[in-house]
Amino acid sequence: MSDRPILNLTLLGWGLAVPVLFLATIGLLCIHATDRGAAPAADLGVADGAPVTDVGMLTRLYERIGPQTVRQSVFLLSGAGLMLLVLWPSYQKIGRYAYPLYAGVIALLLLVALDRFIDHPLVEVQRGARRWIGYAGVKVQPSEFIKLALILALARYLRFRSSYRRWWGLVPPFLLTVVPMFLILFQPDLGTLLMLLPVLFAMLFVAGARLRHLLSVLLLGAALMPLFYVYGMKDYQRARIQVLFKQSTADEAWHMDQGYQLRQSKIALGTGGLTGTGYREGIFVQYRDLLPEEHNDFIFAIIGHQWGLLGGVLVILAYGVILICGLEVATVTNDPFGRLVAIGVVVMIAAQALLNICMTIGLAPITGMPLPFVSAGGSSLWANFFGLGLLVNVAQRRPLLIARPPFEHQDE
Amino acid sequence: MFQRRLTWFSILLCSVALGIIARLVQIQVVQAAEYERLAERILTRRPEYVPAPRGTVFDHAGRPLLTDVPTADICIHYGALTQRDTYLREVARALRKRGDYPADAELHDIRADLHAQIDEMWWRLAGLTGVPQPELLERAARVVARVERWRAATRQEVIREENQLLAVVEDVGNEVAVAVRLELGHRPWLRVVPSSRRVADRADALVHVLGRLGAASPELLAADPLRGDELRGLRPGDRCGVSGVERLAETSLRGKRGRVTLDYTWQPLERTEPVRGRDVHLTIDLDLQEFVLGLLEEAVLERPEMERAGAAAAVVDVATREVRALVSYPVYSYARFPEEYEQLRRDARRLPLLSRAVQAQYPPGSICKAITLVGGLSDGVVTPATRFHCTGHLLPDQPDRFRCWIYNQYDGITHDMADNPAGQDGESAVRNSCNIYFFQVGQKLGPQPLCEWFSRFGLGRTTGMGLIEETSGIVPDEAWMLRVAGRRHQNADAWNFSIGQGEVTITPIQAAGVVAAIASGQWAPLRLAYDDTGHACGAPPTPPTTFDESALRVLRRGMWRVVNEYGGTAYKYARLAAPGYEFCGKTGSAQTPPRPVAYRYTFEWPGGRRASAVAFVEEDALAQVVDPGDETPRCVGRHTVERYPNLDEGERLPAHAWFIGYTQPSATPRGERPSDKVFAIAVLVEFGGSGGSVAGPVAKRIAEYLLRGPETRNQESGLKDEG
Repeated sequence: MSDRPILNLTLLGWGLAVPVLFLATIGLLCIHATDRGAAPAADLGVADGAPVTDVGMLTRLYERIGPQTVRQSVFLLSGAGLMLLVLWPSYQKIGRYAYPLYAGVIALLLLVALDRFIDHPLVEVQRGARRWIGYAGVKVQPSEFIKLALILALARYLRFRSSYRRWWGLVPPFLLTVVPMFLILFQPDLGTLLMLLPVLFAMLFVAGARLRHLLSVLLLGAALMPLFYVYGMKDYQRARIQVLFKQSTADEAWHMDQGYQLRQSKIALGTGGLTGTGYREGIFVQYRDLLPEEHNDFIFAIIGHQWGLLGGVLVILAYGVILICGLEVATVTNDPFGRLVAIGVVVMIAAQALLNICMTIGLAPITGMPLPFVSAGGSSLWANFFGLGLLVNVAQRRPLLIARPPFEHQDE
Repeated sequence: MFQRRLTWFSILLCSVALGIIARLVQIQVVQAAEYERLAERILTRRPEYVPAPRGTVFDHAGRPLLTDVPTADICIHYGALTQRDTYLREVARALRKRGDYPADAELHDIRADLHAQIDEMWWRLAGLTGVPQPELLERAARVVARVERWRAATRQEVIREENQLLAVVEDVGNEVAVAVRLELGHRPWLRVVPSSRRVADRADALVHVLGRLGAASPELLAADPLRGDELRGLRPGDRCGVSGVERLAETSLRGKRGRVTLDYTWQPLERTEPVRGRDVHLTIDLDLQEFVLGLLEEAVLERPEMERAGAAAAVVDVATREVRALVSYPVYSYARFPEEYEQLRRDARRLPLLSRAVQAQYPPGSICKAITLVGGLSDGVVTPATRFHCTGHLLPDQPDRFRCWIYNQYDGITHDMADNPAGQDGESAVRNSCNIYFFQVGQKLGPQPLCEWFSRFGLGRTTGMGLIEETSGIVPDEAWMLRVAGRRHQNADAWNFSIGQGEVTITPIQAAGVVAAIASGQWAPLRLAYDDTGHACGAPPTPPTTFDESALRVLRRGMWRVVNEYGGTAYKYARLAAPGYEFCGKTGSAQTPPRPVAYRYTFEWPGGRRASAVAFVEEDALAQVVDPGDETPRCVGRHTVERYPNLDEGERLPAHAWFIGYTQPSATPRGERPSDKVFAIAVLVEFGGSGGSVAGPVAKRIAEYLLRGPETRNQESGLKDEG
């Protein structure tokens, strides 16, 4: 395991880059297709009946491409730049700042949560939720970055220990996870909140925590779910879960009301069929607003609409390739911190993709969960590219030749 | 350990991925057709319908009587009337999609704006239409209440009307329509829908015949022959013919509505233009109708004020059985009917809403003797030469009962004394209208065969015109007697029936049918309206009944003598002044009790408490006994407390005056079947007294009007105008 040639690592790097590139491209194409700001080609020369000649080339190009597309392109480029930046220092150096990073993001989350009690100008309320923090036009979603901060902090904590193989040893990693979850609950952003759990469990699982411990916690959590459903959730959150169980009802009024988003999403997919309607074809692309959040959380439906089952399966395959390569990265390295980070990032990306696709096809409740590398949105892209950077970083570093394989605990 | 855990982890993720792909296959391949269908539906709005104008109703001469004039209704979507959330959300989405709102506007905010816009719409609408806002809101509430009633009636959760534009302000002028369209037309819940208004021209003379439009009731919807036809079938909220010709010719007059299917942004996808309904041509001649109405009015106004009631007349072209005039007096104004309705229905003395010519049932009196004679001769109980002595009264020992009219009127005089001591044969019995002769014939025939003869002449059933107002009259045959009176026929029934008294009743139009049968030798159904394909409106024609010509010859000779021979009952009153034509007829004076004009209604509350009040219509009486907020009691009894004409002690109530007759060219051999310009005329003047002197002159002037050339007609109408 330790004598793998360097070429393999580059192969892994390509194995990660190609599917990400594919996903980013398909996302950008969909955003362009549904970009309502983009002027149709025929309209460009004429506005209000008079030919517009004094519009600069750039403005024209901007209008042709569409503001959403341009924004996404900028995010993609900056995300890629961020990834390169993350590649520069060794991940182990980055790992040294894991706790300060974690503390910093927690502070941001605290600021967001604080707005619930004291209204301050850094946070604004959108659709009853506080997710963004920013000043003078620059806004970020701290909840996107907490995933990475948590991965780093957990990896940092777990790397040389085996205390988590005892009951009490599980407390610190859980505490690290539960604190941000608690803060996110104030936003609220149930999707992101729940996303932290698979990361924690995967990392503990890989680090070798006892299965009976993890299963006990899972069972306990499952047993507490009904209580949480009744007392912990708001009405609209409960409604979203009910949507899941009521989605095949024949009640049209319900479909026009509560079940609207899911129904529209499924219609978009269903009308796509096997091979799709074609790029920029199909009613969900041509008409405005048939599918809410079409460029964002429901972008998978637009992919399935335009490219059919084929496109959908390709996207899933791309995530599969990322997953396999990411797991391979984790396997190849024998640095425990690197392995944990790789697992954390891979699980983060896979879990997001999983939840997003599942909610699009009516297998999971609808939560605000973007499709990694595909959906429009800066914070999510940056966070994912940051994670990807960490992953490639781990892949690029030579394994420590003299280290013993990590996490080979003697039991089971 | 790590490797093994990784393997398990990979297997888990692979199976999840497979699960997702399976679900994708289910949605995109297995259920694809279903979602295609749904996509079609979300892109298509429910079709909207454009009402079609009704056909025009013309008179015999091609004058338009009822026409649809284009106008416009202001319609508002039910969802906006109720400000229903699901509808507003749908509108908000569509408006945002259309670009009325920025693409990132929240549905919630748009909806709040829509609520405000709808509220604003009401006062702007009030300003534009001139209808005060409270009144508009009240109308809207009525529309909503109506839809809720329908929903309750259909027992469905959601009915079509809840997703439709409903007329709130009807019949607005062109200017208002344009203004509303300009100012409020971009509101997707408001539409100015082209509509039409029924306009009547000179319709008052035949207001009863034309009938009216009204809202389609559940009963009409259920009985609609075009039910189920998307474009031609009645729908709740439609206006359709509820009475008269409008009802009779409903399926011809009703057009084919247009249909507009709109896409998601209200752009039309498919458009079918409405098709106007077929025109209908009445057989009625408007000029004649108005002329006859004038005559009836004169005849009624000549009566003493306390005996004035109504009158009716019918004119039938015998050759074709087309009804040329069908007049009921009094009439009312077609245009003012909606406002005057409450008053009209309470007018107990004149009963203006009654379509007397087809609806009112009168005892036929002596005009029935014509049928008795044909029956007696045809069945062979008498021959043309059979004579009966007129002894004044039928039963030797009862001089007060079953008397001859002459014995009544000229105390102790009989036809044996006044006319022929040898007694009366059939012909002279008709001429003199001798009761005794017909008592004898009736007795020989018996009541049941007599009733059968009435039936053969079209009594006891409608004439086939198809007007729903038409009643069938009563032929009191054995079965009827048992059912209604609870007894079998007696001898006296035959005597009564033979002179048209007793239970037998007839409508004026039936009387005209009888005359037409006498003149032509066969009874045939009458015709009132044809649509423009030449198809007669109304029930499928019943087969004609042909009569024994030798019997009819005797009757026709008698009827000729009634008018044209000195001493005939109508000689003084009905002889024609039209050269080349003659009139044959029969007079009748039908004794009848005065009509109830007020009843005492007794009401009972569930608790057993009772109260009573006097009124003509029940609800007026109810209003007198019920206090506001009180429970509604049940009506448990009604009896007459006042009749009209209201006579003093000892005064004799005048009989209904009948005259029936037909015209014929003078060259027609006596008693033969006439041809050319044969018109059957029936006239009835309620409580008019003597048929000959009151109804006879009316019939005579109708006949003269029909037979004289157009110049004289013009002269006559000119004279009338000057008068």
